[in-house]
Amino acid sequence: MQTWTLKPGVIETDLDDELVLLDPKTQGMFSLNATGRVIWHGIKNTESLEVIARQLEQQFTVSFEQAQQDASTLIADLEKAGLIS
Amino acid sequence: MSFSILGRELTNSDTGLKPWLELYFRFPYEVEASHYQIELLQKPLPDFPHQLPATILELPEAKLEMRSFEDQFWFGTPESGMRFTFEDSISKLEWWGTEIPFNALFIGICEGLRLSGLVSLHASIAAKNGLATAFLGPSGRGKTTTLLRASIAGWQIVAEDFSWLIPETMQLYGFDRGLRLLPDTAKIFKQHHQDIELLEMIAGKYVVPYEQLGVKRQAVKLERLAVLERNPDAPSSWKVLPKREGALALWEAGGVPFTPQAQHFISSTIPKLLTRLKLETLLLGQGELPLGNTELSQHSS
Repeated sequence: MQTWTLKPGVIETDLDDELVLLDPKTQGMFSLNATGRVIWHGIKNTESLEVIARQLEQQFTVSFEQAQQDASTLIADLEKAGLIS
Repeated sequence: MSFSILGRELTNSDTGLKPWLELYFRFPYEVEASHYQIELLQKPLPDFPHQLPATILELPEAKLEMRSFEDQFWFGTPESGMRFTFEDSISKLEWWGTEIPFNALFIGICEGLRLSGLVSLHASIAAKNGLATAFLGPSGRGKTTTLLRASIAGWQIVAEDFSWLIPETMQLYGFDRGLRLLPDTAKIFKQHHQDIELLEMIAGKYVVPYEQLGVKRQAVKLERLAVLERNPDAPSSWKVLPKREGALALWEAGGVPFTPQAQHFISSTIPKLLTRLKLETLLLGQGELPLGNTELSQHSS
């Protein structure tokens, strides 16, 4: 089961309608909407892609397959931004 | 010696530090006393944690090593450095070395102030009718020039570079002592303030003490963030700034604290500030900057 690790030092700023992630070392910023917030919290709780996708399926009007694809895309973006590994 | 920094008591036993402390931290603001304290102690070199990995902090004119273990932070080297600890409402800065570690002490005092609930701003601040605008942007973006233009347009200068904010009241306090102007800028500014004297030059910039400009040392209410953006192809204008850009600008202007506790405080304070401030971008483009009453009142909402 694959899980992900947060880069140490990443700072969250919760603006209600979006969650802003900031990497102080690179000053890189990443903004997450409601869906992204669920995925981010799943990553923080070391949940698998399948568990995260199930949560998306339950909370939003989306199929499990679509939820998996959305989560995979965001996780790849977060990895590319160096915020998780 | 001891004195108050916005109601937080700073104590120091070393007389050699007094002029530096007074220059950077002693300002005649009257703020109700709090229970927070910052203690500076000169001590013999403690056990230096060579075994801990060092993070290199890039400062404007120096690099500084930082090491941490639990709630202890070491800055500098065995030759000259400082250990920062804090417990409840007291921050302790123990320093050593024949050379005073000014950079480390400045960082430590600022962290102690953040842990006491203050927010720092590296920004140019100007006020009109007691309401302040913070001009934000990276070095070289035009903060000082915009401040001077605001001053010429009748605004009150609050700070050119550094200030502290009490978030509960939104009261802002300038913590610098004068303008630092490049020679060309200084000459233009002197055309509008013919009585100023351009005497002292530090690091290639003229220093104009606030006393020469009649700047009053008083709190102002922070009302607006204005992130500066250059666009030579467009007319100078105001536009709305998205909240996320405001969050980034505040992080950049305040710097990221090194203690998790202060990071948490700033993380939770920034969203509150963003809901209370007007968030705008000031486009530095063609023509005069829209700093007159009409332009501001039309855009403000």
